Amino acid sequence: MSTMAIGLSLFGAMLVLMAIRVPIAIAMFVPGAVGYVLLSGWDPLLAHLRGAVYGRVSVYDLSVIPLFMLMGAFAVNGGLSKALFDFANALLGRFRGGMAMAGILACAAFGAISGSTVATTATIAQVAYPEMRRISYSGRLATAALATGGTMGVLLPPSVTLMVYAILTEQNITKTFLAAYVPAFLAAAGYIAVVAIYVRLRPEHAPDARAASASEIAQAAGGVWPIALIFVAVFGGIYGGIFTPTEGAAIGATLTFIISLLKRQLTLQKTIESIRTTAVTSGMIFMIFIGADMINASLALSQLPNQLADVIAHAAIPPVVVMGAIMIFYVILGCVMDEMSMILLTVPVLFPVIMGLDFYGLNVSDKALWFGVLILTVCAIGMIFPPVGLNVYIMNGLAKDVPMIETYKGVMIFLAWDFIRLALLILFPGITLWLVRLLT
Amino acid sequence: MSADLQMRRGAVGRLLNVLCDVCAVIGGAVLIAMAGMTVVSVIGRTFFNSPILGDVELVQLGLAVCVATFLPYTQFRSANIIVDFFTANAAPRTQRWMDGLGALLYACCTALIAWRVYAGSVMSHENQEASMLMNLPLWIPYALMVPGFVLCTLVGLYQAFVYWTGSDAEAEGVA
Repeated sequence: MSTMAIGLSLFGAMLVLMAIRVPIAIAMFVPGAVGYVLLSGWDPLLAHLRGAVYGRVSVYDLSVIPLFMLMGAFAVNGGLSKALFDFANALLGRFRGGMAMAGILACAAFGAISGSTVATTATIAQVAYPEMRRISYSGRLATAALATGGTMGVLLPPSVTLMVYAILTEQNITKTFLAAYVPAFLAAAGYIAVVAIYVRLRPEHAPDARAASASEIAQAAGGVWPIALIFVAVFGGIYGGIFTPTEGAAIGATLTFIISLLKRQLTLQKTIESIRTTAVTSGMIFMIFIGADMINASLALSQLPNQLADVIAHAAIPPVVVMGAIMIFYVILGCVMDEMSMILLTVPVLFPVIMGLDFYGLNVSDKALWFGVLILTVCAIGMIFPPVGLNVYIMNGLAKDVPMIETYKGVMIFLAWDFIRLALLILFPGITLWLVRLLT
Repeated sequence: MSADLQMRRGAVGRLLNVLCDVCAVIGGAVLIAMAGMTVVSVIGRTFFNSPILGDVELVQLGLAVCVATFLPYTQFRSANIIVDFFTANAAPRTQRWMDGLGALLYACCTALIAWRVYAGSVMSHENQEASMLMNLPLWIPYALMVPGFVLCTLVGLYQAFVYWTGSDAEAEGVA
């Protein structure tokens, strides 16, 4: 069997294992280890594993993942989400559909300090959804707006997925963070516009609006200073070059912890609960890291990624078509896989392909940032795309009175904007790169 | 979730539950210590021009230990992601059989890793490898990772046993 054939069989074996409910990390590790033995031998595998696992997890940059997770967990348990939603609602409540817009805005703001999309969706939905239903928003609009709003957490720093991409492709984390802001802003603005248009066409989905008085707005603003403080301290410091992303994450976790204590929200029980949440999600991510590392080591030995890149680079297919095909591939993959495994599995194979193609004459670093934002945008789409959208499931768990099909109907209108936005991002890399070029 | 609850029954399940939980909380304490140390270092560097020498190394070593303590907890809570798209309509019996297989493979992989990390620790000890700035012996973080992976293996074996021996009626009853 040629090395290339072994590489392809590894991939096939992995897909079969995944399909029969073997944990994704293990479905990567087992074929990876077997492939390593076939390609190099048993002793080389043993020698490789002696240092590989420790080497994989003792990476300074990787510590941003559990640290930002911890910060997010403290923020979730520290009662910061309600203040955020109240403020957004005071600002936007004057418009028809304003509370749905406020939910989206609150998701964006919470996503900007939380690394977990799931936590963002669940946290904001817990405070926003009952309010929306109380003033008789339709279940369709309420659940769809919140499920969609939560997907911005995938893109917005400190998104775990974004950090994993940066680490995997050896990009500067700070630059990767900066690249995500304009596309995320575009997402939020578009979603809010979608709500505005939708309630104009179908007014029965949202109640009449009620404008907040200036004093109500001022009072609500008083509740959000902790989040503003955390955001400015952590990301101001990182973008200002005062400290590294890891240091920013450590400062953020500590600040959030202190603020939650001062707000008298964080008990010992909740602190331990925050640690448990961090442990579960970090453990899951690092296990996939270990598995992906094993299969990628084998795939590299099989030369499959290089040969694939070579074949595609010489196939004379227009690069934009290749990119479009990759995006469609991701949407399909996203129907059955979570975004973290998708990134860890596909990026090592597809990244060399993209790097080998010419897009608008972009340099290597710009191309990497742009590609990262594109695949994260598709990952975000995958979180609400039928038949299996993780965020729709989360929303459905919280809003048991709304059938899932209703949520999907509502999600469709937001998805339309998602695909337009994706096309814009592909056609105009400048949207992604503008802020990076401005600030670095 | 039903599987998660079921795993905590019986003496072995309860013991493993406590061990995983304690392990994760220890890891959390290490993580918080890393955060605190980093904050102190940044403050020291910014205001007193005296950072903690080797703070980066401590974070690296701490992270390795931290991850190893988190892994068994993740597995015990059945939080390692699986693809259930293709088997969503399969009989519960079939699903349990597959989940058992997944847990057994998990146990095999983590056992292999535990063994190799242990070998790495021994080798590092023999070669007297040490970190660059603080001269910390590297066999220590290696060795501290081993118990975590061993616990992972035990959890995987136990889960495979429960999946394969527990009756379907029992599983339904818990769900």
